[in-house]
Amino acid sequence: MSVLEITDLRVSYGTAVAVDGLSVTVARGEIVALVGESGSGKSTVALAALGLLPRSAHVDGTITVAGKNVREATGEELRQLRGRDAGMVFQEPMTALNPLHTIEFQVAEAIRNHDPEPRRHKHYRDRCVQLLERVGVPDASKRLKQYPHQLSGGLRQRALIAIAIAAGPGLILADEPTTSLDVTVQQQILDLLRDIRDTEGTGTLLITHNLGVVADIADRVLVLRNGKVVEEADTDALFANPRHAYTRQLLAAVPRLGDTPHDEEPERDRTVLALRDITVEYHGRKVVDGVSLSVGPGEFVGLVGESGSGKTTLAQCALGLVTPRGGTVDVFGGKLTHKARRRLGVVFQDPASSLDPTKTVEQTIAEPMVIHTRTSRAERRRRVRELMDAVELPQALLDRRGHELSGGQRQRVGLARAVVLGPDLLIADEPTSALDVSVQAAVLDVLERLHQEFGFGCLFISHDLAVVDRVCSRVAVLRGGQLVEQGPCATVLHTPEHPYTRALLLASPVPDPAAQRDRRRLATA
Amino acid sequence: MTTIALPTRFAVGSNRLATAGAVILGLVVLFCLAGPLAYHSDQVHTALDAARLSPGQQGHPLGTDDLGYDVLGRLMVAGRTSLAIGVLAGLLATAIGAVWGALAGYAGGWLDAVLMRIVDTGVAIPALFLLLVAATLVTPSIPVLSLVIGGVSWLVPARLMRAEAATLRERDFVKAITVMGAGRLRVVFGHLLPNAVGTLVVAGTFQIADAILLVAYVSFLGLGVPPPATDWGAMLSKSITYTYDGAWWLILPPGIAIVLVVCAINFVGDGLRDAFAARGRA
Repeated sequence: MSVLEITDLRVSYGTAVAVDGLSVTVARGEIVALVGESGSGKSTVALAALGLLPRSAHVDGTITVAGKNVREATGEELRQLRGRDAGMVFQEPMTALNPLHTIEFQVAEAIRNHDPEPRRHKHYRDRCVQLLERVGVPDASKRLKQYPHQLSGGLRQRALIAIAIAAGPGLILADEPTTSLDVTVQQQILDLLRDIRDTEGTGTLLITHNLGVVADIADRVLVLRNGKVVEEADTDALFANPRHAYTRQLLAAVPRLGDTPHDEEPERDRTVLALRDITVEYHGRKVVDGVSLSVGPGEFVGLVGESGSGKTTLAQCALGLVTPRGGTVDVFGGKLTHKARRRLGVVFQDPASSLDPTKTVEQTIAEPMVIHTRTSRAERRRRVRELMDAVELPQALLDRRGHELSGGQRQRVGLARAVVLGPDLLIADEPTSALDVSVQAAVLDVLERLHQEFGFGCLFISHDLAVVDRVCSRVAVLRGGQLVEQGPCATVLHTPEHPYTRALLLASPVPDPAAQRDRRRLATA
Repeated sequence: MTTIALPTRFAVGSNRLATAGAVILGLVVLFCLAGPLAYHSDQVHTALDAARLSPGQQGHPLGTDDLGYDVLGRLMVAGRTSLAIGVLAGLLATAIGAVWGALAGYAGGWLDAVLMRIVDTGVAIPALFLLLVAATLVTPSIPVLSLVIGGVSWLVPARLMRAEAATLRERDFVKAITVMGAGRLRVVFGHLLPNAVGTLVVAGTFQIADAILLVAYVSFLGLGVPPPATDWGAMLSKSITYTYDGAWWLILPPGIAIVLVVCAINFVGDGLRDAFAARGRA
């Protein structure tokens, strides 16, 4: 019996169509993945399933959850259905939990809402402990009195899952449940979702953009593009033999470890960036602890680590935005003077905030030239046009402003600005993390081409090992502010010495179900 | 150059109050500037034989005051002073406040602390008191009053701009351009101020309304522009003596003019604020 059945769902906002004729069923004990890039309409489906779409949405088609028609349900029927028949897990547990209430209150509320005779929240304490233990929260009875901000991201997501399964629903709707988590935590959450399916027989609709996650956990996959299902298949079949061109394109865009051959890199005696024994403290806590790292001319060095490992802080030391408590920062063999900044380029993670919304693309790219050179206006125009070609942006965008561009286009403009003066050192802090995989692949291509053209050294920060393996020749692994391993990519990412690097590698899901099963066995062994 | 692209919502005029405000404002400005061309009256020479005529007598539609000046004509001349001082002082206050606040918010640290404590001190002293002191030291005229009023009322825009600059400073585009060598002035004038333009335009409109009220206060207390020049506040001040004689035509016209203009400007300011908020920052 299916716990969710959506037939020919159409959702539109005015003339904009978000979902266009989508049908999907989820049976008991089945995990169905809805995969797509941003704007594909995948989150809209989850919201529609629980009747959570805003009034401005125009909805067509039938949605049945546990045999009940969602679209014809009254307010009270919907309330009964939400939680009892279907639980929801959101992407960002920090905002999905109420910061003003304890974990106990929030889990108890989920049980209480569906008790025939609701009692005081305290009454449900034992059940709360059971639920938290079920989702693998250690010291569950102690955690009851804690507030969301006192828990780590992984524990918060576990609490959110406890709330979702509190009333024993037959269906879990998980909207990007692991996207805001580190890979090692992501692995644990996926294991938990799988375990809930195995023991309780819950059906799951998993919404994600991550094909590695799909390969790890899903039984069946629907690939979504612009609100339409382009391909539906069993997970093994889809990855082994993708039929639709878009699916193939998506799969090809995912960077994989070991796809890029690494040449022997010569030892370099000169450096463009040398960090020696850097220590940074915030309020007495060491965020970076005695890290030494160098980047040679033309060398691409990756810096990987999970959130809180201190990789961004380290980059900010190199950029002069943070003054380290101990150690020295050496840029081009000296201090970071105004003159040295001419040879320095930078790209940040968030494409939305890295361009001044009041400036045109042309003004943005030209600004470093205005600061450092006395080129004529005509010369600047010529140079900006060259760079637009180099980052593969059409000249027609020159007069646009940041908010009129897509995320990928903005990041290309950011790259063009960073290399406009032909820098010797580029510092890139998670430059592709906010982008869809296909856009990421294109931006990485551009970055590699610029590297060949300008030959800059680059400190490339990322949490994605496969991306680092693709573009970098050397890599440093950071954990809790300390460097655990450093060396050529070919060594560190393929025959790691440190157990943490190994754990990190095993936890990064690859878009291959068979390989994922092997890795899971390795990880549990 | 940065252009202020007004959101279409406002231009279309779906915000009725703001549109009404803009229309009223336009009419008042037209009345004050172009009015004397169509309606001639002597606003230089007193005519004591025609003093305190009630409306309609001897061809004076709104009557005359105690010195025999035609009230309708006087309303136009006084409006010029009030509006000129209001606009100049409002713009000056916004400009000073913007630069001051942007420097404080961007610099942070001790400079921020020093600059903002100066603002706090200024706010603690009543503006009217400072105005009265200033008015006794210098001879009032339009430029002088604009300078003085602008000089005491830039504190609020400074605080607004400081908050705005402090958040903008943390945005990646500011970091990126700083890292690549942009100096403090380039960041403040090239990036922070243009991005705060919405806030500043809205703050500026309210400053103009406040300034018009302040001029009225000062003149009401007899420290405004010297006769025969006048403004709405001075008209009120002089007429207050005759309230109990039933000379309503001396009180109501300037009073209504002040209320009308200040309300209209506030409506326009509200409309602008809503419009900028609706557009958001992409």
